[in-house]
Amino acid sequence: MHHIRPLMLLLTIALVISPALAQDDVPTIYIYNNSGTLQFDAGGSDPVVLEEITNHIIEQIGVRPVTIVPPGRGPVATEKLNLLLGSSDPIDLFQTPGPGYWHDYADAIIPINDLLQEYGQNILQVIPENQWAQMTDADGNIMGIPRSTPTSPYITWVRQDWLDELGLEVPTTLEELEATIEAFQAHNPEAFVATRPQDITWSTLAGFTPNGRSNWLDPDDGMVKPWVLQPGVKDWLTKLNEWWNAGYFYPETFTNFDAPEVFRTCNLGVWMAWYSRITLITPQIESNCEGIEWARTSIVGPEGYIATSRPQNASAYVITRKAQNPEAVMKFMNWVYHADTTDNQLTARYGIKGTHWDYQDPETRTVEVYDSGYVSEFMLPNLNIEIRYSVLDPARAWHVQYLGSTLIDLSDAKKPFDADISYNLSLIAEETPYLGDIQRLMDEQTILFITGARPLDQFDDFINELNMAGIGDWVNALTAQYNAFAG
Amino acid sequence: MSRSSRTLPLQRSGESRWSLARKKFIKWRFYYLLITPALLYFLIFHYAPMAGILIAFKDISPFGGLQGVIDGPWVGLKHFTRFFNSFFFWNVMRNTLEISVLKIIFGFPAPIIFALMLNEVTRTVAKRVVQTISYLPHFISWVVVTGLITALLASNSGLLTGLLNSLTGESWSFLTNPDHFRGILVSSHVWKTVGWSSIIYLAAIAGIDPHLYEAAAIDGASRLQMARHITLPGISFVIVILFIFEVGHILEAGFEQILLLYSPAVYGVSDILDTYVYREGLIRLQYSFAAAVGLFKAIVSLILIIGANSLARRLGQPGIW
Repeated sequence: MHHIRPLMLLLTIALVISPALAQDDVPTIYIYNNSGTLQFDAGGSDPVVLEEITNHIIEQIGVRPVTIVPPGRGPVATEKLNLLLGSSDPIDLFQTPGPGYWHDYADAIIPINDLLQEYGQNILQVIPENQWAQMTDADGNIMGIPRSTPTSPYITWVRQDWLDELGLEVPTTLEELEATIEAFQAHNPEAFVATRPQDITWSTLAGFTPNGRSNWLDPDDGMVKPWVLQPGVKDWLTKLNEWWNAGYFYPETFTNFDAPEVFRTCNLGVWMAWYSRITLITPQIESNCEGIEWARTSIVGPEGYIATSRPQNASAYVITRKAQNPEAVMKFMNWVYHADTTDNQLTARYGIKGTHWDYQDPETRTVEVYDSGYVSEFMLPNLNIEIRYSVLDPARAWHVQYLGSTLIDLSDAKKPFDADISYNLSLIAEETPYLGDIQRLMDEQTILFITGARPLDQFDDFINELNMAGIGDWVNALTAQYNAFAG
Repeated sequence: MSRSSRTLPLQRSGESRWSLARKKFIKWRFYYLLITPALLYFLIFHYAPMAGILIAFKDISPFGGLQGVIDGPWVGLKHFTRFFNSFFFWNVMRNTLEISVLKIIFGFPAPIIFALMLNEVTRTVAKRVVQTISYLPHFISWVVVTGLITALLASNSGLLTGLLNSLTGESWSFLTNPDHFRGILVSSHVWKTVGWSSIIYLAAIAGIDPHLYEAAAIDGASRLQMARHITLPGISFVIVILFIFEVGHILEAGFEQILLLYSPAVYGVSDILDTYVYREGLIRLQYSFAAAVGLFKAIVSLILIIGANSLARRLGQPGIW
């Protein structure tokens, strides 16, 4: 008995230590998944399923991914990111948020040129060459993997079922759109138009200005200026103010309203904001809003298409300076972005092939997704890979199909004047010390003009206020970088 | 007594002072032990971080850690100047002060009145039920409270706005209306804090000698007269101390509450120092700027506390030191 006790003790110690030792062989990478994938599923996956998928990935590439779920969207997620980067907590991979994207985080991330060459060949194949310019600094260092691509996400949507009911055509001009809204409201007094404060310039301004929601080159002085100084901005505000006074808009449209809640009212007749609310929320409310259908429009105003397309920006997936295993991070990304198969990205999105999803048609890469309890913690989306498959899942089928076709169609939106220029946004912010004040003025005052809280005859005062707040510094910084780029 | 004979006891007392202190320390060692965690807490979490104010005078790399702070170049008062020259400096200061003062005007007397009223309730069960219900909002986070406010006041779906819309036939909008926004802030603040803040006044009232009430009753004083001439003077020292603390927090107008409720439509009446710093400092990674504004706030608060305290002492109240 006395001999057995030490043996038992040794055995217990060995049992406790062995898994820890075994885990040491597998590098762990910490992903802060602020890509937007988890914005509706912050509760996370079923832990058992998540562990299964993690083990599957370890088997595939010998890397253990661990996801840190952001506490919310927008500034809340960014605040948490900044705290993680400034603390001793592990974080190896994240998506750089705006306004400065990777430029703002240049001190916290590493160049990935060598890692890409050694471990990232799939990524290099999948992402077109012209999308790397936004990722590259003045010394040729590639600072991240592109997250965004040029898209047209701010097209206006109109209720097709209501149009059919009223015998109307899809509107093609602003006048027709106004007539449609009038008809909708006559038919249903609760019907309304909704947009979002951050989207309204993108979805409507181009109809009234030469360049839309874009910087522009003023021919009078050769300076590159922000959109707000364009000719036509006052006309745009006047028109939207008329719409506000006519009661077209959802009354909370300029607060931080909850989009799903607005859709659930079934009274939304016109949506003039980010496309995915339509493609993702509509399938969720179809049972409540019987027969709901949407028509994508191509509306023109006095100055052309009313929407501005969204250029690729400097948003990137980046590897942090404090990453213990940057090679493992790149291996993981390379696995997700596999050039020859969609299996890996689908594993990151839906789980294990054969268990959580399977190809219904391998030729067309049509995927059937099963209930799994997994909410895509390992998915780091990029349009370049998301357009390679379609799903049967009614909740996502339309969205996935839209990503691969219509979203990248830029033909009925104005392309920003400087879409191809890779500005150093951090440098612009540094040279424009009151950039935050100017942006607040633009956000705040345009909404006050639209809602009538500030009379439009004070528009010139507003421009003077922008000058007093230092918009001239911004103009100088933009012009210097534009000229440097344009030669 | 000779000079030498007088110095001898002093020398002895010098030696004995040390041993006396030692003896005292040994005698009260358990009390010192008890106070140690609190002292350490203040040292570690309140005094040591004060070294961080250095970054208000430097340009630092946001992710450079301690080395970034050490290596960052000194820039003097650059961040302070930038703040004072900001286009929105006066707007932000005015909003902060106005919202705070409104909260003090309506929020400070409310728990005193509530405590006085509660003190007059003689039925113990009713008193306890009212007390418990009034404490509940304190335990609800601002996230939930702002959700409730939105559910009540949202233009289309809000309970109150729906009722007003149907009664008046007009379209009411509260959360986007600069005229109503501060009223929402102040009333929700009062609702959330009135019960919990009344506890200290109820405790102070409980400490008033009951014989005073008995004597006043014999003299024929009414309940209102007793409240005015006995209860209120009896708790005046607590009121003064809490008022001084309140004044010290005047530049904190309710960050979380405002951040969760405001939108560009009401920035003009709701953007306060803390929300400004949050946007400019923490989200835009300008930590030095955030530290400069934080230091400015601390200095103003210190001046206000000293001023309020000396005013209280001049008016014959005890003050906080």
